[in-house]
Amino acid sequence: MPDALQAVLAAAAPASASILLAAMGGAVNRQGGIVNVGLEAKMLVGAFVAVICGAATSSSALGALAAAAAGALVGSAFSLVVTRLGANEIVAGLGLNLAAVGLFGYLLPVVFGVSATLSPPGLVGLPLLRIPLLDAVPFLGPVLSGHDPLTYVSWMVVPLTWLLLYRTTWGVSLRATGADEEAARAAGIRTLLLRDLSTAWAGALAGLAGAQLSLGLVQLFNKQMTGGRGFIALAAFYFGDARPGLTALAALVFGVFEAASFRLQGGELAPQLVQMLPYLAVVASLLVVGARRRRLRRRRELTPEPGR
Amino acid sequence: MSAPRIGLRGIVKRYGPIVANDRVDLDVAAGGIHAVVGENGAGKTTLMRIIAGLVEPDAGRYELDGRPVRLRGPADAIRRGIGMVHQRFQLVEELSALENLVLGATPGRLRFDRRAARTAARRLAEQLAAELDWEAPVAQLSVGQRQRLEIMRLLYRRADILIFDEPTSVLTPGEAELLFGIMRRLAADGRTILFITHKLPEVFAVAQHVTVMRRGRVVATSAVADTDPRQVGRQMVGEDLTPPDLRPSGRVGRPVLALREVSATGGRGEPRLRRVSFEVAEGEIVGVAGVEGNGQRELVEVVMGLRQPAGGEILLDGRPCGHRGVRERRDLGVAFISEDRDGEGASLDATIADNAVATAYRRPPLARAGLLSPGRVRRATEDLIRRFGVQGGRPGAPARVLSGGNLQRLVVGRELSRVPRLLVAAHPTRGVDLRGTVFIRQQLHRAREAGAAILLVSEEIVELLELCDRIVVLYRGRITADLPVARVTAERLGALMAGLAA
Ligand SMILES: Nc1ncnc2c1ncn2[C@@H]1O[C@H](COP(=O)(O)OP(=O)(O)O)[C@@H](O)[C@H]1O
Ligand SMILES: [Mg+2]
Repeated sequence: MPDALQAVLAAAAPASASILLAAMGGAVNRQGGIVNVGLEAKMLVGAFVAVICGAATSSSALGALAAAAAGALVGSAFSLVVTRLGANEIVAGLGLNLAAVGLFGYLLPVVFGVSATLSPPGLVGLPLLRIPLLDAVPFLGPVLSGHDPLTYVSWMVVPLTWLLLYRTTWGVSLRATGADEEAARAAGIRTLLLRDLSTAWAGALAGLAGAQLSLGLVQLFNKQMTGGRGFIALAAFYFGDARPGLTALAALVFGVFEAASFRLQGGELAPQLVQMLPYLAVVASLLVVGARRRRLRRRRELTPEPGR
Repeated sequence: MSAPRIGLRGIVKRYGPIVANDRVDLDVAAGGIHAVVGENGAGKTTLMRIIAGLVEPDAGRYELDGRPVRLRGPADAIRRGIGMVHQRFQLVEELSALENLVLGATPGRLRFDRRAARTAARRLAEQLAAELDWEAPVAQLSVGQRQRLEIMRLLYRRADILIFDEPTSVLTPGEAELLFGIMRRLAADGRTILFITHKLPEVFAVAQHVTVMRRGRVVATSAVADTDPRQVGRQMVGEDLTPPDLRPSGRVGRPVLALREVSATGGRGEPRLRRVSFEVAEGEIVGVAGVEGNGQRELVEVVMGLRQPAGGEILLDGRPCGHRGVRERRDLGVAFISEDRDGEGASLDATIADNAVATAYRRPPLARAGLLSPGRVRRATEDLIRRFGVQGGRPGAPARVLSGGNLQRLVVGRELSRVPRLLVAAHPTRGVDLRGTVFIRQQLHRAREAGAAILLVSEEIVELLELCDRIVVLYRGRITADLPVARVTAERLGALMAGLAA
């Protein structure tokens, strides 16, 4: 049993990395007032660009950087449509996801001559890094060490996000923008610019998340490889109320369920049921959040507001 | 004499056909409190927004210390030391007080230095003698605390001209006194204060100069020492406003509302009303006197059915109705003027017409067989607008375009378009100008003479003494006095409200 637990946890780290990256970007975006439903599309674009550039340059690092840049670019375009043209962010985000599916449905057969999966020659995956001392810790060694670099990046992004949101003037201004745009503007903050920057940042992280899928977990691009992880990330920052710690926790928990479902697939349960596990976890957690928020709201209604 | 701190010459601002400011001249001396008074729509806010760089005048000269300036937005104004505390606060409720203090003040710096900010915050709080919890989200602060935070924000940005737009309209009398103390201290430090109000006693309590505006123009500017409230009142309204006779005729009928030992608790179970008993009869106005926070809000809510009482009995025309909801009570003839004008009283996003018929749309003549007649709705709204003097918006416009005073006229008109059995009126004239206040009091009086029972919650001693047949005093959730108005004086009422023995 401890072996099985260790194996699940060790698999959970890389399995949750992409969700964690995308969720942290989405949380920053959310704090700035934009619900980013298009994370899925940006992950897919990132995964694709990582494979193409990784193969062309024979460098997984350059592939990952290109994926981040591509995600930021798509994010900025999405943001401009929302902040400058006044498009509804949910509709625009869903549209972006559909567009990405359509794009790859077209590109893969027509340009690359494959139906769903692209694996160009010369593609090298991300290396697995052993962290010297961590490696030797009993039980935790394999859980914490021996992962691809982007998994470690995903961990570092959590405190980074916290610093960004709570210890920089930029973060304070961004949160003000998200909470009350009019008041923020009155305080002299360039709210539209901040929103665009936060969406570009979310796009960059989603792009990296895609690269982690296509260069870290496997070494290929498949047009369905994101498998709803962008939406799981959405659920994670929703669950975490866009706060870094809770959001990260939710992302990791979803990752554990995903890793567990890999493990269980050989067993006697129907594989379709097992594959539903992570998504069921998401639904269950959202029910919990909904109930908690309703209770909070009811309590707030009973206490009179100060003054007014 | 040296140049005034602020000098305006021939300032004009038009909004379409409306001339909000019409060739305004104004001199404001450095280091004092200068009051600007005028009825709703006189152009005070527009003028202040011009001074604060939020609005550009169409014509005229604007001088600071005798030098002409042209402000490019509020950020430019604050760089020159001019800041404004708006009628609606510009704070971000979800952020902490500390974060609000520094918000946008250091655009060039990336690091948010909490410790430095906290030091500055503490110094400002000391300067104003106004302590507050800097880590709490602004949503948890009282209105008075929020206002002091707004003042500290301006001082943090080194403002030395501070503009207050009707700051007392949201404050309790005690908090207003606190604000006046702060204003005096700031003026004594050499800062220049512009203070908008339409309560004349406030002018004479704190200001050295007073400028009167009417219909976009400056009617007069005088030293407070050289004028008196009567004269300023006349200048504001343009005529002598003889207070109408609101004395009750004394024809009191059967009891309509009766409370028997009613209790209520707050959100954490703490008692807010303790065994409250009294009655309100046909043709009678019963005033509830008390300083805000002594249970008035809870009393209004249990009477209206917005809050479940924790104990006791509420009778309407002799029938228990403690379990009934708001709509059922309204169907029994209860009308309601809420203190929360743009939350419970009206919907700012809905049209004026929708607001005007919000309590009558389900009944004939507006609806027949469940279908609404748009023509009748429009006519009913136009009728209400005319009868109650609602100015500033057509029936199809969102209620948001109305000034506070006119929105209140709309609400009062809606609730009194038919004579109700019982009217619950909470602070009906708060933030309403002189003419509107007189009008609303007259309407309450008229409804009483037509036989309505009225429960009037107010902090304005003058209002209570002028209108009521009887006054009950609410202190810490208890009725501490229940007296016919003839036996009450202003001094005695003040003492009772403060919890001093009768
Ligand atoms: N942004 C605006 N757009 C159109 N009309 C306005 C605007 N601001 C003010 N007004 C009009 O200008 C007049 C003066 O308004 P205001 O300065 O707010 O008066 P006050 O503050 O004395 O009540 C009113 O008739 C008001 O309707
Ligand atoms: Mg005004």
